[in-house]
Amino acid sequence: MREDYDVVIGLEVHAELNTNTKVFCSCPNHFGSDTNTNCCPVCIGLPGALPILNKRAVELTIKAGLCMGCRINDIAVFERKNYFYPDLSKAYQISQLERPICIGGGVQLDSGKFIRLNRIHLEEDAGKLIHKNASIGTLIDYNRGGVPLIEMVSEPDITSADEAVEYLNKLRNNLVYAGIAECKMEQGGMRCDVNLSVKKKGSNELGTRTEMKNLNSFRSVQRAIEYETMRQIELVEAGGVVRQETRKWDDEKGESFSMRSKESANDYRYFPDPDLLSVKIERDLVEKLKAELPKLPMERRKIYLEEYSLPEYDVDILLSQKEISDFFDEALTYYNEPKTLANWIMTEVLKYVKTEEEFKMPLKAKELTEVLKMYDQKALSQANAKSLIEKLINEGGDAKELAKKYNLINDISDDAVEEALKQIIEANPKAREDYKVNPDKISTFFVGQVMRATKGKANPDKVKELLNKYLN
Amino acid sequence: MATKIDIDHLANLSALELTDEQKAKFEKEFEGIMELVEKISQANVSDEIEYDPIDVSELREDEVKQGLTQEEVLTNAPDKKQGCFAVPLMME
Amino acid sequence: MSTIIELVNKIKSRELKSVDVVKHYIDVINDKKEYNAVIEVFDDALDIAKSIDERLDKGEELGKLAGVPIVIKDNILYKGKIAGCASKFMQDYRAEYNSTVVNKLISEGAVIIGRANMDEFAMGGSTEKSVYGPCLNALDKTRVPGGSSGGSACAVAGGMTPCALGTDTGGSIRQPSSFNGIVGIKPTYGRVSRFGIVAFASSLDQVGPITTNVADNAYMLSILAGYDENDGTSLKAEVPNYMNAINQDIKGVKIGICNQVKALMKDSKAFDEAVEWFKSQGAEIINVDIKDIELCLPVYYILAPAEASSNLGRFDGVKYTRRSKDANTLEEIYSKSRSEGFGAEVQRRIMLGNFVLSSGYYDAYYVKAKKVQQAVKKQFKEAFSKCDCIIMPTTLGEAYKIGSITNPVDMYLEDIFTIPANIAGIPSINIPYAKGPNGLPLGLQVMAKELNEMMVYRVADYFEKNHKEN
Repeated sequence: MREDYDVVIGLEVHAELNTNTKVFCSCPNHFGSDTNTNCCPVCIGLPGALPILNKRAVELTIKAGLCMGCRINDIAVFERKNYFYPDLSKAYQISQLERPICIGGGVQLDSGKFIRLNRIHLEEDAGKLIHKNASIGTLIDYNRGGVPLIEMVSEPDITSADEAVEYLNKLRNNLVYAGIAECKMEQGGMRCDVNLSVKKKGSNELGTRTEMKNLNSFRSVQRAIEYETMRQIELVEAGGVVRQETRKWDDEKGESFSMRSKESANDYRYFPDPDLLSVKIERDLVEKLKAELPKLPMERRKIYLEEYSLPEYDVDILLSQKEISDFFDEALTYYNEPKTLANWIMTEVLKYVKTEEEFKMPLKAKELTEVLKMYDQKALSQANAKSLIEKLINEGGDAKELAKKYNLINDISDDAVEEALKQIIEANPKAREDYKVNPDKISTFFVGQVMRATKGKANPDKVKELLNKYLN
Repeated sequence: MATKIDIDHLANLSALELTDEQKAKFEKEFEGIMELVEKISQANVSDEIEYDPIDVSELREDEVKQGLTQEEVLTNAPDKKQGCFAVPLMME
Repeated sequence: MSTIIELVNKIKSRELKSVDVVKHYIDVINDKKEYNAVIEVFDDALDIAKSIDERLDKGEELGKLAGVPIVIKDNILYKGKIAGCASKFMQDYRAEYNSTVVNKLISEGAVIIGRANMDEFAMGGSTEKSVYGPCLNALDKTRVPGGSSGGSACAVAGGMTPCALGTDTGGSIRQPSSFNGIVGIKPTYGRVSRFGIVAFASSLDQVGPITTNVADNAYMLSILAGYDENDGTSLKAEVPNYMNAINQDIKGVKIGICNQVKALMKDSKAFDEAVEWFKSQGAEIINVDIKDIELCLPVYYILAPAEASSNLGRFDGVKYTRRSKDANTLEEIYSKSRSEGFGAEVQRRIMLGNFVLSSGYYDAYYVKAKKVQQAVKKQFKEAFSKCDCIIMPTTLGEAYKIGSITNPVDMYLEDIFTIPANIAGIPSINIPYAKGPNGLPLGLQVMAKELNEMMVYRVADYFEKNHKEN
């Protein structure tokens, strides 16, 4: 980026809410169905059909507001945004303008900088256009039409692509952690529009902004911002003028293009939807929803670092997915050793997670803690503890039963260990001699041999102790 | 208050294609209609649009109900292809 | 001509067969084709009547309208049937689902025999603006039947059906009822579900029954009214049995006369006589003020077109409605289909609606109109704290000659007395109460505060049964 320019960025982020049904009708909110099969008179805009607001969509929007520290309006109003486009079955989108559900709020970046939100409002998604070819034309599938969306509009507080991506990550984490939205960008479950302008460093005069659409991954947000910043600076440097326009990002080409727009396109003739009366949001409901919210990433980070004294590295891994953090928190309720638990999760559990599929922890938190308790009680050797985790992941079931089934329990007597060691010492005179020169290395050899002889049941510490006795 | 009406802009917003003759006719009729509707400027009301507590939406539970089949959805479609409504290829 | 209640009883007692009743009315419709009131007789009506007869013969209980024929306005959805809204655009449109009112009629055993002519998309007051051609007044073929539910009113007045459903956004049930000398109610806004009614102005539209007499009307509304989970603006209040309002006296009832309305009447002789008559029957006459009642007209011609411009956006030649044959691009599908499909009055109102909502004018028109509407509602509320009902004429005069009003504004001014009930959201009924200079009926409106249809029916029924004209 050029040092002599400031870049001013505001983001409009849309996320599809995690509901069973659409926002104004009882059709399934489901991705990937056959075309036009999740539809009814309301969402395909048949004459006479009327919208009925989904309670859960309102509640999830309130929750989103609570996560981002917004003020929740007492009365929310839905408005019609009128324009003709074939993905919009009624020629208007039901959205919110004057009285959205959530006002203000914001997200704090790691640097401490606060990115203010202007609002979060609830609206309906449009259908999907499939552009085929000249003979088939453009096809319209209304399955997505009417899926509940929240739009989170930031103030123009963002000043770099990195900040934009961090802000997006934090928004997404909050929504995912609180069960509000799944934010699957690859399915269009989260989308981002970027408003961007540049100005000479220190200047108070704002530049003309452009709006970029079609940003479907964090990486394309990053690239599109970098591209558009340079484009605008180069344009201004060359004596040109930035035009206020909507641009479409082409991820393959790594460029954005001006979208042709009709002059009247911005006259949306918003007015309150007469089919939907005001929504009264009771304080009791807000309090109830607040109580339901899980701990959000920021809060968990604080607890992990300060109360559990975990290193940053561990905390980053634990918080990288809600599922890991939830697993860790649940396991802690059975086994209150944060650092030990974190180590086991990071080294012995996460390696089994299949990254190509939907993220899912491979075993139950309670079973992991059962393994750790057995290990602590010396009922399992470390090797067998690891092996038991693997078996739990492969077969599921109860830790204790599996340990018995595979004969992993450390039920060998001290005498038997001692006897086994004696025999190994007898059988390896050279090692016995080497031990005197290099005790550390050779003790590992003996421990390994004993473990093999005892099928992993011997306690390595006990073996070392016995080695001392016999060889020193 | 004499309001000048931009007929072309309105036709555009309305997605209507009007002949010059129709435009002229609308323009003339609008004069009379505007005279009628502009009577509301006489009204002496200053307060905000009041929120009437009776006028509150009933919210719906988030439960799936049977909708239409694909065939029913497309019953009246002037053009349909591959289970979808069809329009000429759009240039975006 | 039988009343609905007589038909219900005679069919139930098997004195009459539904199929004969339905046949009779269809015959009348066919005899009176020139009136152009019922534009389609449904071909399954006789079969439905037959099956109802069979079930009644077996002793089944089939609901409150078992075997009774009913006509619906062309903007009410009945699955599988055309709901054309009297528009060229919608001529082929077959409903994919049933409106709530149709479901109610069917579940009570009614036989829906056909659909009635109307002004295109319910925009008009004369049923001259229909793709099916004008409908005629049942009492004078040279005159309009009123509108927009002119076909429904003409069908009832002409004996083509004992009952028809209409819709009323600014007087579209009451004014044609007045012009044809029959009874029609616009219930409280939200009393009857709008689900499956092609919307004109969502915040004003109401469905209501049109009948030959008040008792039938009360009987029908008891069936049609009620909360509907598919209509977010429908009211939860319990539905009383409106038949309890029939055959009551009106002693001590406080009847309001609006001071501002008197000033607007062309000729108040008939109205003054009615007021005197009510007084003579023991009612108390109270003068009330509704200061801004005259502004209801401009408020209406801002709000209704605004909502209509948005509601009619969905008719675009993409999903349903006729697509222009000349359209080669998406933009042309929109603009050519809509220009060919919508008639001049509909286009005019869409343009007007888009104007009052457009950037720069929204506050001066739409917002201002909403504020005046609030003021008017308040004024009605205050008036109803002093009286039980308000009476006023339905129209400025008798039904006028077909083709006599061509200027849109002159047509709009005809709605001056009917619009206030829509703006205030209150119930209002039309009953015939006098004859005009040409011997044609004049209608009287009885209005009450919201959800007080009981009072409306009580006063209307008393007048119908006791006034010498009737």
